[in-house]
Amino acid sequence: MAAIEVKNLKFKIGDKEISRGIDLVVKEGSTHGIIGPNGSGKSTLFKQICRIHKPYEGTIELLGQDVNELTQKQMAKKMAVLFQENKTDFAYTVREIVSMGRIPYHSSIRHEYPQDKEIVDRALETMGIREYEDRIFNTLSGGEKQRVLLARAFAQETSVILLDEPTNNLDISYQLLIFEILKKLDKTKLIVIHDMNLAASFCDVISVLEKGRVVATGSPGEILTQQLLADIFKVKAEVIIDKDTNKPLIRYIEHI
Amino acid sequence: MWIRKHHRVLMTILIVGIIVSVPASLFFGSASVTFSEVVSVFKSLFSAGEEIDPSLKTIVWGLRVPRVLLAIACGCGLSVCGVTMQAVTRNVMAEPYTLGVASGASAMAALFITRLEGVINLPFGVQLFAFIGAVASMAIVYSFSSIKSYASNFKLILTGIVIGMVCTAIRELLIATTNNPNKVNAVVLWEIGAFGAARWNNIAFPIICAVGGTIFLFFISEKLNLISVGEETATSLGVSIKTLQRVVLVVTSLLTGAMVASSGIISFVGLIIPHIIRRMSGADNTKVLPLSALCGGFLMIWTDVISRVVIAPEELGVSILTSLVGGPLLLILMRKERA
Repeated sequence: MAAIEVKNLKFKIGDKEISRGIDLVVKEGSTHGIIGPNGSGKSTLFKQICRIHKPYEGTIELLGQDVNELTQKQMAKKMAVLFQENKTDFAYTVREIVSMGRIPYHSSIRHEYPQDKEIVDRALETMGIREYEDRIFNTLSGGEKQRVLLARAFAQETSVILLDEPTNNLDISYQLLIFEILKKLDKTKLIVIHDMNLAASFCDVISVLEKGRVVATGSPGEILTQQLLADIFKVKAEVIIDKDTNKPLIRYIEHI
Repeated sequence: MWIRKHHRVLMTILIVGIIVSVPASLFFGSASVTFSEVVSVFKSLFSAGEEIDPSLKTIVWGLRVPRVLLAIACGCGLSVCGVTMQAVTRNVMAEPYTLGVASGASAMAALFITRLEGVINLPFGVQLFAFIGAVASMAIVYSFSSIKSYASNFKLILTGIVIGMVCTAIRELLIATTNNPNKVNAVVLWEIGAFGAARWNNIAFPIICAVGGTIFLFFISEKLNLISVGEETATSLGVSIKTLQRVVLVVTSLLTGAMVASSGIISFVGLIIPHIIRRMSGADNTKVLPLSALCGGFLMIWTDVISRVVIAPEELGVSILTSLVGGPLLLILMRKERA
């Protein structure tokens, strides 16, 4: 079964058509990367899937159910989302931020359930941040923050997780760490990603977006070719197939 | 850090503080009342036979008891509105009056006092007009800032400032065109806030609003946490922003309106109490909200006591005290925060 199935999705801002009929199938259990040049509609697609933007045409199914038939709360139990922007004026601790992942399971008259503590503990441990659960989220570095947010998504206990450029602005060690953590998570992952070498080494499937349409979907080896990089991304590059992993490695040469 | 994990201790201290403060506050005021006199008033309430001085009974039971109850309700109501507004606008500078509630209330109160009082016979006219002004200004702010989707915090605050300015101008206009200095005085006196008008027949509405509003907002305090970290995050964690925003703004405007209508515009409480509490308990609104309610109620009892003894037999406006003490206190807190 498809974890996420997008059919003929269309979206406009004013008169400008941002999504022009997107079709996308994300298989259950896969790590699916979305790449595309700036302005290709990646973020818009992302926001439509998590229902921040409403498409004017087309459907989105999450685990076989039309998202329009789900309440916001039901959706939060099926899909966790990591956004890029994460600023707050308030001094929440790491544990408080991670505990927010449990809120979709609460009723309004009850703010705490016995199993919550254990689940949050496990989330903190899985992300290796148990020792700083009492630190203030705002004072953490970008990489640490990202781990906290991953822990929150983990505590949400969903089978699908959406990530918008999770390694943006992180140093290389954190970029690899975040992807290694992601790899270990037994969930369907849909990741909007800029770095194509990271996409090549961590994604099972990659879809390429251009001008509001999905123009190609396939394994990293099938997608990341010199031709595609030239056509879509306007770069001249050399693609080497890594002998150990059998995955493509891109060496950028110049802008076309 | 210790309070963060043991916020119930702080809660207990505040509850005990309030329970002790209510009877203690009855001794203070322009007329001095002794302990045995207070006791005799309470005795006379429960046993018919006791003979006491009726003016003593009026002072203690008729004036001071309703007054302390109203003070608690206002401190509590304004504090929880402050917590809620700060969360919803994701801005620690927000307060109950951010969306023009106070200015709307003043404009309408000024309208009643300068133009209608004495002309039409309306019981609780000022209160009613102030309440309508408060709720109407919030309704206008919300409808203007949410024309397309939900209102962004930026649009809410900006529209609030604009509506506030317009209402202030209306109030100035009403005052400027009034020839009777007594009426101008009455507007100013109403605005600086006081609990002196509290009687048994007029405190039910603000108290019910404060209790009901606080309980309701406590139930949604978890959602306030989510909205305070971002609209998108809140959406992804199961909150419908539009519904939540609408519900919260309706409740806080009714609550703030009820507080303002009953005791004028008491400044700074809604801003500073949440700050003080957050420094002790952390940012989690499920703790901040009930603690702020209690702390606001407790501090307001004693602010009111000071206001009636400091220049007795005259009374000092409560707002003068809250601003004079609250302002510097907030500056000190901010300095510490940066250090």
